[in-house]
Amino acid sequence: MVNKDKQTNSDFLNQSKVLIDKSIDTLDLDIEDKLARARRKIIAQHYNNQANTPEQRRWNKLIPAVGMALAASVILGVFIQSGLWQSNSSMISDNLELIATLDNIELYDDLDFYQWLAEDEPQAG
Amino acid sequence: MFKNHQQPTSKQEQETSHKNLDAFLASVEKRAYRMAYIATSNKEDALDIIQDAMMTLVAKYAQRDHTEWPPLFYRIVQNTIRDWYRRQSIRNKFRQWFSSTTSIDNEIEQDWESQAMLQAVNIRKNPTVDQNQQDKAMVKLMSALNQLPARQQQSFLLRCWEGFDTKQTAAAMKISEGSVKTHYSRAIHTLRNQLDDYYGE
Repeated sequence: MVNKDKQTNSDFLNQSKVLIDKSIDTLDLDIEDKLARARRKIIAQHYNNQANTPEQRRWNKLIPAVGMALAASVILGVFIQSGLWQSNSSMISDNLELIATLDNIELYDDLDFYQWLAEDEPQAG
Repeated sequence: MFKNHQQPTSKQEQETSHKNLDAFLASVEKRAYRMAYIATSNKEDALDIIQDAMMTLVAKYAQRDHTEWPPLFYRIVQNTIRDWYRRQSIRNKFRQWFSSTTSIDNEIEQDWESQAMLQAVNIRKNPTVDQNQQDKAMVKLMSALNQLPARQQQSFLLRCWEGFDTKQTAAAMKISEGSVKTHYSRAIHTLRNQLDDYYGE
């Protein structure tokens, strides 16, 4: 009984294997194509990276950071050289006074109130 | 279990390695896709899983001996499928709060694949009775596999379809050999109950 069961299990498994193998034939061509393209791309990228020496790979990682640092330095240099910083600094100082007087804006908002208050208060002196 | 391998130095060695890796992945990509599709019932997710698995194998294990690639690749596929299940579990919890259509979407996707399979086999010219019977059995098997719990499903595919032994399957799935035997046995039992009538002699 056990042997018969083992045999039929074995037949079942063999037939299942055949059927799942067969299911590969029904795969969408689109899927096959996507798998193939992904595989080729992944391998090509890996071997392109490998073709570089360790030093080149190190440089490949550093170059973007070095580039950005250089660009920032150039911009800052141009900014300082052109005197924009100075003209801007006077602009900033002028605005600082204005900014400092922002507190007075509240006074302007309440001007009507203070005017009324002044009229209502008894005259000093 | 896994041995390290020297990095190919000469250009020729690199090209040989490149070709070997390409040939290996070409030999397994469709099978692995089928495995991922049975697990996810979603074409795009299955494609993502296999592409991720390929990238990981190539990035981390290209230098290994080529005999190690199959068990490594399938371990990576299993890990990625497991990660997919974890993310789905979290996503489904959120979705359930707002919508009840998620399970319907997956059913539609699965049904589409069954339809596509049926169409593909129906294109066959002058099918014999045996071929018709086999085609129906195939569609039924795919559907039954999809409905199995994840570990039973993957144990079955790795043991029966890929021919891995218990030890290799346990390594790929990161479970004990005892668990592999249990899941595999239960899978066979369930599938036979559903499919014995479809299988010819």
